[in-house]
Amino acid sequence: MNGVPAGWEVVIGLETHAQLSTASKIFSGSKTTYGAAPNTQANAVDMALPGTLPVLNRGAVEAAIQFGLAIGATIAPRSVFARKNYFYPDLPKGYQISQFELPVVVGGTIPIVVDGVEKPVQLTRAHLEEDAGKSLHEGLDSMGVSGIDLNRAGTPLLEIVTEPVMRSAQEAVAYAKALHGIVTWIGICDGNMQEGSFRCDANVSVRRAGDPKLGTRCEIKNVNSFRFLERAIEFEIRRQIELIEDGGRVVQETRLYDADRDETRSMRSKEDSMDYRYFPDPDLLPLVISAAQIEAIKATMPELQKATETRFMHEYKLSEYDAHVLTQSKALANYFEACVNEGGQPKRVANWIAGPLSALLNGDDELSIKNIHVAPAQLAQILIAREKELISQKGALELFEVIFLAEDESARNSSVEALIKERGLEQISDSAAIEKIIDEVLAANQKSVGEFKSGKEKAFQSLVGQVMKASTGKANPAQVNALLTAKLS
Amino acid sequence: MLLACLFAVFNRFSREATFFTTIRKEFRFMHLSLDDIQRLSRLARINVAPAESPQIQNELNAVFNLVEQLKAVDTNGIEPLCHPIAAIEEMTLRLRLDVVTESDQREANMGNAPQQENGLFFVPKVLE
Amino acid sequence: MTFAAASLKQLRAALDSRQVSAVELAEHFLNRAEAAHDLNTFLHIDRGLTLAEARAADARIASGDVGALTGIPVAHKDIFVTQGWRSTAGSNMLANYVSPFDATVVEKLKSAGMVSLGKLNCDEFAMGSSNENSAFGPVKNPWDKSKIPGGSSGGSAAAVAAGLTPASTGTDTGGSLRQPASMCGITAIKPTYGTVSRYGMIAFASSLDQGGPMAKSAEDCAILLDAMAGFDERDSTSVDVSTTSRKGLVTAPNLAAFVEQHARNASTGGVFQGIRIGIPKEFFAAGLSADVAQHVNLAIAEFEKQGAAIIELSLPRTQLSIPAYYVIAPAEASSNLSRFDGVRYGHRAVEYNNLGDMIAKSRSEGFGAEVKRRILVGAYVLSHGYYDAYYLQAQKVRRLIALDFQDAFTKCDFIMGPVAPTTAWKMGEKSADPVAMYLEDIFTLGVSLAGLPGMSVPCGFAGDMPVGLQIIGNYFDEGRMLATAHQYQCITDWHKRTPEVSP
Repeated sequence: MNGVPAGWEVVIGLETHAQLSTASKIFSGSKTTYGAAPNTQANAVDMALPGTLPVLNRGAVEAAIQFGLAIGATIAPRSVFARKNYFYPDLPKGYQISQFELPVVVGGTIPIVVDGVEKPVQLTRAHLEEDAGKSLHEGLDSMGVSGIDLNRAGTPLLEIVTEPVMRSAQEAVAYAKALHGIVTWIGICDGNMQEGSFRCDANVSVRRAGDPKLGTRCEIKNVNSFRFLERAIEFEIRRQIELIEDGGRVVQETRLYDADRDETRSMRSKEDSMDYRYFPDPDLLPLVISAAQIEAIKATMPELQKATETRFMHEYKLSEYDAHVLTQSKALANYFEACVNEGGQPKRVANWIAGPLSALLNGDDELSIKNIHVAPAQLAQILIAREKELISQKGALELFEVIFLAEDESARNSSVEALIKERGLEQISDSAAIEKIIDEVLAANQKSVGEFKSGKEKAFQSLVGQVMKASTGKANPAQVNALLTAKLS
Repeated sequence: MLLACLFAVFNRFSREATFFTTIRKEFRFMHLSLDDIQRLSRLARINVAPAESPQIQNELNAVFNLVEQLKAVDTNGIEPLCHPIAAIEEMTLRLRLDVVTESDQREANMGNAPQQENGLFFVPKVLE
Repeated sequence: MTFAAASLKQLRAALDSRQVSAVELAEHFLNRAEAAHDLNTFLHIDRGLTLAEARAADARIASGDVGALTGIPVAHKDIFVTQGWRSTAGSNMLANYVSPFDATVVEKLKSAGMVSLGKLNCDEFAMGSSNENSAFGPVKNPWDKSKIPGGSSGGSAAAVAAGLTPASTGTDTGGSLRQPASMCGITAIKPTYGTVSRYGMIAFASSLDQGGPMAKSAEDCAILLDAMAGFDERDSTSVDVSTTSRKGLVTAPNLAAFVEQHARNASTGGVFQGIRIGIPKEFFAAGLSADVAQHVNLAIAEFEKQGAAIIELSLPRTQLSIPAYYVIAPAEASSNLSRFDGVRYGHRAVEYNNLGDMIAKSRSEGFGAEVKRRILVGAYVLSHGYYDAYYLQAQKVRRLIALDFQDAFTKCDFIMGPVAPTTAWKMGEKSADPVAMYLEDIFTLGVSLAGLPGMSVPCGFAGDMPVGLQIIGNYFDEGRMLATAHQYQCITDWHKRTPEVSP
């Protein structure tokens, strides 16, 4: 069922680069925002101008500690920054400052669930390092040049490395999603895969089932979505198995995933590129983290995903399913709790978030919850109005959509009460008023009344429709049903 | 008196072979092969023409003859020294607050670029 | 007194009494520097920039905003980056490089009101002991123009010795402040590693590089170091002394005041009463030339005569400092110099086949022979399979060397000995054999590896060539070192001798 052909075992380890959401770079005071004009966010340090030196950002260290705490890892009391030496035009210093022998986070576990079975994924380590710049080619081919933009150079990264414990593409994706959930939940990474904030490289090897020896692995890079990760690994598994079955041999190499062709292909291997000549960076001293510092960070950590899920079930009497859905992201969970705090009934809020809200968010983008225009208080008020039968379900949806889609601030900020009035969405629940409308409709539709009385059930629905139409949709439909039944019996 | 003692020390040593020649004669290995020179040349992106390779090889081997004596030193249980002051007390990394302190200095920072256009450094096409 | 021979205090007095203006003083030294261009000390002079700074200094003097250095000229080793003047590191790689920022040292001296005369020649990327490795030609020793001035801060030393500037900045990685000071007969101090910010110093070997002043006397050095030193948050290896176990010591910016006060309080009987001076026997072993030994011994005898206790001791790993240094320094250099790839600044080859070729050609053309040699050595000692045997082992030996010094300092206050085995040698004499030149660094390398403060103080002449006495102190003990050196200079006049420089 896991897509691995019988008689074969697949071994996968993942290396994930999570860009840390700090305001400034890991070793300089430059901005880290995405999409700025080229080289406007690279200062003298980021450009490695002669005489510049790195100074470590506290925010990056704290993010690494938070991550370590979230996955039950050991925070190294002493870790060391090393230089990884290689030449590349987007690597300004000719070396990357990374951690090698002594990383800041050691061990830890992330549980995943595949086909209903829970499995722990053990982590080897997580270490801090700096990102490189970008080589740009678009529009420059004819000139035979590439452009170097160093805005990204020096952006803090946490490289998170698993043990080779995953056995299928599905497990790898489940792990990647779980990791994504954690780093975005604790807020150390925005998780935006399109912008490269969360990048997964997969080490894939295959061996015949029962073979104790690991096969030769290939590293797959350039995967910028979970879907592509799954497809890239599946392709690579097929490629390696076919290669071996045809009598060939897997060569250890780095392969790029090409999403357009849905295949991985070999990167030209760089000569001697394996010898990075790591050594402790003499510009930086050992990073020492005390137990007190760890405790202080622990105290500021948000409640973790699992704990929130459990608390929602108990505190708000939600089903496991609802609690799970609501804790898919920190933003979603926060939104839910804010609505409840504004007076929304928990189950109703949960249903609304799982229903209309998710539909409007187009289902797949949990992140956009951050940007939705409906304030928690507004949603709570809509739900309260609905509960009090002041508006119909249709009216509630309309209100929600109006605020959700509002382009100007004033509509977003207007009170739900005012909007109900403004848009004439008040539901008529006054029996006398409804009876009056019914009487008028019955008088005008004697034919339908006759048909109903002769046993045609359909005529009743037609009369309901007429009443609703006469009330311009505002009559409480349940009351209309009840009163009409009474009148006609 | 001390002076006399120092002169005595000095004279005693200068009668023997100077230690400069001593260290140089103690080790006479060919540490690096011509292949090593080519490998280092690629690794360091320093071109060494085949014609000058033997000379570079000799020069580097002279250096390695000099450094060879390190291997004989017993350093069991000795921590490497990363910052000199760490010889007397623990030195640890100082951290800066996560605040943006830099504004756009592109023009000044790119003032020495050999080739640039539209805010990008230009290099010969990067092949990936 | 001429301005060229004047002390910083004398220049201060002349400026304060309006005997001379900062502009006049700057012009005086610029004229001297230009007249002595055959020494090849200056790599870049820009009168406009200098005079603008001099006018600003005059304005400060006029407004009464005056410090010890306001209006006094200084020139910088071309390892410090400067906004106005080119910053070449003595290399073709950076022949036309202009930094968009000033080094911390440059900035500090500027804000103290010093007027920069320009940039001084040095060995390429500070790698060398003779200044012959400069891409812009060797500096000549003003005492004998056929001889080297020492290196790598050769231009800085020669310019002070020749009276082309009252003071200069230099850097010391394995002896580059002390050895040229010794060979040019001036005074220099390499402070404790971490005292002077490395921000804006073009890096050679990060864990060893340390900036310091070069001048005519210990007193001048104290005044300069007060302005140069200080914690810098842009340099992660910069040390805030107040957070260390050495916090009780006198450090910048109180050095000059301490030196002055110390001189006032010194007893007339024996000015070095109570001071214990350690003499390592390894510093007087074979290899030390007889004439240097003689003058160093005479200097030590002078200390003894004035009440100092002389203690013979051993720094058993002195000889190991050469191999340890020539592993660590090239390793760090090979990595530090990787940024010179022809992409963002510096030399780019004119012709190339592709990106890789562009980078390799640019580096091969831009760097000189010694720099390339050290890059290759550094790449080797860090490469896979060799790291433990070379780099890691060297860093361990380095600790042993540092511990030897700590052991010695339990027995003495200062360690004294020669700076270099010989006086300045003939140009070209040792350039054919790089390793022979490495061996000349034997007495300075240990101090660099241990990160200790070390001085060179003129202590005599062997023939016509100056000899320097090395004074080594314990960490952050610059105050007492400078005070002691100043006392020595109060009773000797070696530091007042000047070479004849033909205009």
